[in-house]
Amino acid sequence: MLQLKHVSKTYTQNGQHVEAIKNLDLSVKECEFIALVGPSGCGKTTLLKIIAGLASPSGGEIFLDGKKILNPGKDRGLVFQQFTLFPWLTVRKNISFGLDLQNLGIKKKTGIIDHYLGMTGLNNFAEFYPKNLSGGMQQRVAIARTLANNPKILLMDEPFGSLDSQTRSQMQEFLTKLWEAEHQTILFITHDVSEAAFLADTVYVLSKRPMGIKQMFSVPFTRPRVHALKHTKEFFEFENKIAQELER
Amino acid sequence: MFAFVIFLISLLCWSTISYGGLISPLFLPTPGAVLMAVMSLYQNFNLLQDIGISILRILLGFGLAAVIAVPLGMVLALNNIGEAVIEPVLSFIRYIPPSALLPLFLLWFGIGETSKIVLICFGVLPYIAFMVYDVVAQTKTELVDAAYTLGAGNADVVWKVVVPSSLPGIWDTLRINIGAAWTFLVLAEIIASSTGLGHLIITSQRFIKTPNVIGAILIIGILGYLTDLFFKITYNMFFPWTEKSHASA
Repeated sequence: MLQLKHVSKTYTQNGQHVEAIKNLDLSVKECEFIALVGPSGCGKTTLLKIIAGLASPSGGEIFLDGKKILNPGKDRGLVFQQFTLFPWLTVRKNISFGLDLQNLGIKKKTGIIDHYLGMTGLNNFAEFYPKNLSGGMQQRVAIARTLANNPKILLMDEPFGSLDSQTRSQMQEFLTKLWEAEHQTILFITHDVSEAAFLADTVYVLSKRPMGIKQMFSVPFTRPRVHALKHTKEFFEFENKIAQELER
Repeated sequence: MFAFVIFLISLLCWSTISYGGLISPLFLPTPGAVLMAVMSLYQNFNLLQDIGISILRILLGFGLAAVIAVPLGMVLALNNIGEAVIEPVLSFIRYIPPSALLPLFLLWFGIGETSKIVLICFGVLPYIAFMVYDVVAQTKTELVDAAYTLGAGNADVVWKVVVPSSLPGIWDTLRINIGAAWTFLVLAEIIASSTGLGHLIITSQRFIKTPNVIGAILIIGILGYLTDLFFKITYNMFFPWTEKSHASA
């Protein structure tokens, strides 16, 4: 459903010509959970911004369900690494932000919001302002806000990158559960190999400057996945294989 | 609490110096004399009317400046073409001391209310516009990006992201600049007025009534303090969501 064809991105920095992304091809199937793993600063965020329509590629084209992507749109939901909740809106109103832009009946809107409040375990925090939430909770709201908009694909840019390690693994488990329930198509970007292996169906290893796809790995683990999986020998070996490819 | 202690210490120093006779009462009258002077002004010289007219001038001059400068600052920040055209003009105006323009204002608008209101307005307008510009320009890109990916158009981004995220900063801008408005008011009233606290100060000085001068200055200080308190309380009321606000969720 999502197709990237020969996408490249170049820009000039301090008078120098930088080739950030070179000739990248990628296709994502419906209901697939794909993780892109690359070293820090390899241009992962730039790629996601291009897919989201927040930046334009220097070359190549991107299609979503056959339609060329030119602008940002609600069919591609983006969850950022930084906390991007609107601080002046309560949790409920944050989740409602995208819905308020559409012509939905109050009843339908409330139903959708309540569904995602329940799913993210935020029922008791609906009237809180973001400043009173922990980092993990803020990211859960951000995910709920994006999903409430019913995007065709969920783009996630190291969404757990600024969380402490305990919250991080809780959030990983939360996301697998969520995926197992909703089968949302997800393109997930991270530099954490174990995170990618735990969450995704397919892991792509990216190369550094210019960014391209180095290698693809199909994740052999069955679902539902629980945290204990990370401590098995098979997981450790698989993780190692990806890590070696990343460092090569 | 801390502020109260500072106030007490200042009063103590003042009392020691003045009652102790270290300085002639001509230069520094005693707190008692100042209090008596204020009472007398209140009873015999319509002090409340002077205070009222000064406040009214502030409200009109500052209000007019805010009504023009806040939208102007926003448009400047949101619009690159506007910036190129208007910013140099505003910078030019900003560096002209408004006091230097007072003679012109008097010539153009007479010695009535208009010249005073124009002076206050002219004095604070460029600063409000520039500070609002800064506040709006600092809107977080991530929030704007998030809104776009949630389906917002340009107008939605302005009204649902830029404006609400800028309001606390704009409120602070107004709070800071209303202090400057008092400076221009007193200046206008000292030079050309027959009413207001500035006029009270200059006539009292002519008749060497130092207690009146200090009384009027203290009244201005108290009014300034109350204004600041107003902005602080309303800030917490309007923007309970900010990190700075002490209001609970």
